[in-house]
Amino acid sequence: MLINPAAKDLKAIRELELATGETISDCYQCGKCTAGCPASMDPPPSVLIQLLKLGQFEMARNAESIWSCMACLTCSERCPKNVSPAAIIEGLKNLHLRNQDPRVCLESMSRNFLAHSPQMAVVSGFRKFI
Amino acid sequence: MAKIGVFVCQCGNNIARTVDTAAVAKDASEQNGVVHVEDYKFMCSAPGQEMFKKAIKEKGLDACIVAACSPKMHEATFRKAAEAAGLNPFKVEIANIREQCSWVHDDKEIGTAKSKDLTHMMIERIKFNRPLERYVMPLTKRTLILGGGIAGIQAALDLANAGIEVHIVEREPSLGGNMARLSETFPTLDCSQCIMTPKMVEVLDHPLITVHAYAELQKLEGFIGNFRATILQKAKFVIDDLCTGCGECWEKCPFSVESEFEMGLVKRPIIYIPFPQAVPTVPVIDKTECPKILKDKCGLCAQVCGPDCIDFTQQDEIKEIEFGAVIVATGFQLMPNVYREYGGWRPPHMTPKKLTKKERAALPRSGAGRLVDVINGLEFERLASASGPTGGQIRRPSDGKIPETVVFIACVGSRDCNKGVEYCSKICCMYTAKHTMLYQHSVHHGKAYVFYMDIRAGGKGYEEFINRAQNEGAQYIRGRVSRLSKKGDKILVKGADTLTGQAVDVEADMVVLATAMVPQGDAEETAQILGIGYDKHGFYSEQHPKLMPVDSSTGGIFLAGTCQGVKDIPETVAQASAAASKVLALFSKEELQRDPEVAIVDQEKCMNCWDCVTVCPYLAIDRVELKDRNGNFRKWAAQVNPGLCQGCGLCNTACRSKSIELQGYTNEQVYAQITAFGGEFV
Repeated sequence: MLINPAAKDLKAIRELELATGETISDCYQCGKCTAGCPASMDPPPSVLIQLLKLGQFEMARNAESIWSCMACLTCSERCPKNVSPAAIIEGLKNLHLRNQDPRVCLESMSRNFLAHSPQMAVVSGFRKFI
Repeated sequence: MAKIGVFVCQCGNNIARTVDTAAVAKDASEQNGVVHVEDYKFMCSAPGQEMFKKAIKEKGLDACIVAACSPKMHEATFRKAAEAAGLNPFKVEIANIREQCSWVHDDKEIGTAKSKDLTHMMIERIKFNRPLERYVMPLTKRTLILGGGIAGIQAALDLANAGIEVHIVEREPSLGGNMARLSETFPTLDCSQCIMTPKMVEVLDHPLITVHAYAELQKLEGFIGNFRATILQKAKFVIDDLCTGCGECWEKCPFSVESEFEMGLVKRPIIYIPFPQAVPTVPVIDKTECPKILKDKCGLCAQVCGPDCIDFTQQDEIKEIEFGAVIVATGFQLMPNVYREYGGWRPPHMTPKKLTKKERAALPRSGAGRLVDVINGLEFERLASASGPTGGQIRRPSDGKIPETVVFIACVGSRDCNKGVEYCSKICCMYTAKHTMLYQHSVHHGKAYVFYMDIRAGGKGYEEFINRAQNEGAQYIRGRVSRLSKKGDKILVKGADTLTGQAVDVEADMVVLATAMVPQGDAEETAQILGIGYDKHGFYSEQHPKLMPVDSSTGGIFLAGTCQGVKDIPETVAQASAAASKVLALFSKEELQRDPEVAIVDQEKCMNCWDCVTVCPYLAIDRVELKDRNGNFRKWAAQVNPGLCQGCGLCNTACRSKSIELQGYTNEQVYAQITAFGGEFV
């Protein structure tokens, strides 16, 4: 895994910040989110956010661990810098949906279900099948 | 007819880049009353000032305009030069064509036009400037020091050794402050008490230092050179002059309460000295607890006292003393209630008591209130101290066992804008390294883990000290701890190592939190008593963050130590000495000179509505009675104390009868300035 800090995907990161309302550059990598994560995410939340700080949006978005996040919000509650890792992970999942990524198979869901479910519920539902 | 000189400065290229200074000078020379004009590269340089003085003398100028930088920069310089050339300094005005003109414009045409206007305005204004004389004020050469910690002690000794009378007001029964609590100090690991107690004794024995222990400042009136302090001496119920400090009373006292000095780890008697080396060694009776005072029962201490110095009828006493300067050295406290963040809670003394229903309800949900062995840095200092509750053996508070594994957590409450304070407390990295060493020197087979985020060891010998701690076996883990919880008789520490991206769990016997340093709980009230500024955290603000680090926002009040911001001991001592030298510089003159740019009242016109008294932020306006030549009361009027007045102009605008005038900023001057500008554009 080679990281090229010059190849920053600023547009995607900006989109993610707008979608979540978080300021990713506030994070100072204390690791409190990783320490408290009950899902034992790998890579852990602090590493995902460091990837985003380095501008490696695709690497963060394609990380397997974002699908094991249970949105328990422990990390957001404990973050000393008011960056919400849970919201950012939720945002990454959302951007998968928004970009109509084939990873999530929308066709398997009934139209009626999609039309009447809140977006977050759909995202949470997908987690279970992956 | 006025004879005005105009001096236009190019400031190298700073002004000349966007202002055609020659055009400004030429334009000024055509103004009514201007007899001399100069355009020079650096007016503030020595040749520039010589030129300025020469022009005043040779042309007999009676007013000067310097079109240059902000008056904050060089007004004083040119006023001094004018004084040397025999011109009243208040007949010199600055037209600011740098900060408010050349620096903010790119277009040379606009910049030049604006500079011309600014200079015009000043030319019209200065025609109404009156020559003013500085006020001379008396000076009381006595210093008040608030706080008897290391900062107060150092400042007091420096001043007293220079021959200045000093009074220290300390709220606790003994001098010493927080430094007296420390066991050893970084980076040399020398015993804190050993370096501090000789200084405490020296303070007490010094003929020029008066110590008001167990006293508080109630009120401070007056101004630089002439303060009047009201000091409340709390009743000790012990007669200072008779007491020999033999200790009979506090050994016999049958009652006990938590010791504040020992951070509640042990109990102390109700008649007590805070610690064995206390200075002065005069005990005080805690009147909120003593059964003799509350219910007239017991009185054992009075029976055993040999010199018969216990007096239960003693009352609080008010002292009024005059001072010329004040040094504020009120110190810090560790951030309270950090245990809650980690789901922990510690009962106030060593043996955990049975909780009442109310206390249990107040506990945080996680941790369930049984994390007795989570302590803060100062409590660890007491545990490690040879004079502490365990006699220097490190034993954990819950069951007195020697802890085999200790986890130290850095940045607790610091750098945490969510639940704590945003700033870095600066000393925690160092004292955590010291704690690991103290622990490992005491418990040889013990394991010390440090959870840190960054190590900030900028100081003489500091990085080497951290290195030594790591070499002596402390395991440093880069990450923050998320949660502490109980596991058997141990504490489960859930942390992370962000360098490997893995979660780390440690089962510890004891956890030490390197808690953030915050100002004293009543720092804001103290600031209001003193009339000095403070920041959002409660630290007192210095006049200038770089160039005036010991001056408070009020003249004659200086700051020393951690009441101004987080610091370690060497910095505190350095700042205390700096504050002392500032006081010495102030006291080196026989009397004080004050700027005459203050408000004055035309007392005949004053209709005593007292609006000015209400709005004055410096309490500089008094109500006085005017009398006729027979001494009969004639009328009330306002009067400005020029020693207190800062020339802010609030009273000037509030005055309904237009009887208050701000010298140097009179209505005529300001109107002339505005008309000179408006004349062309309206």
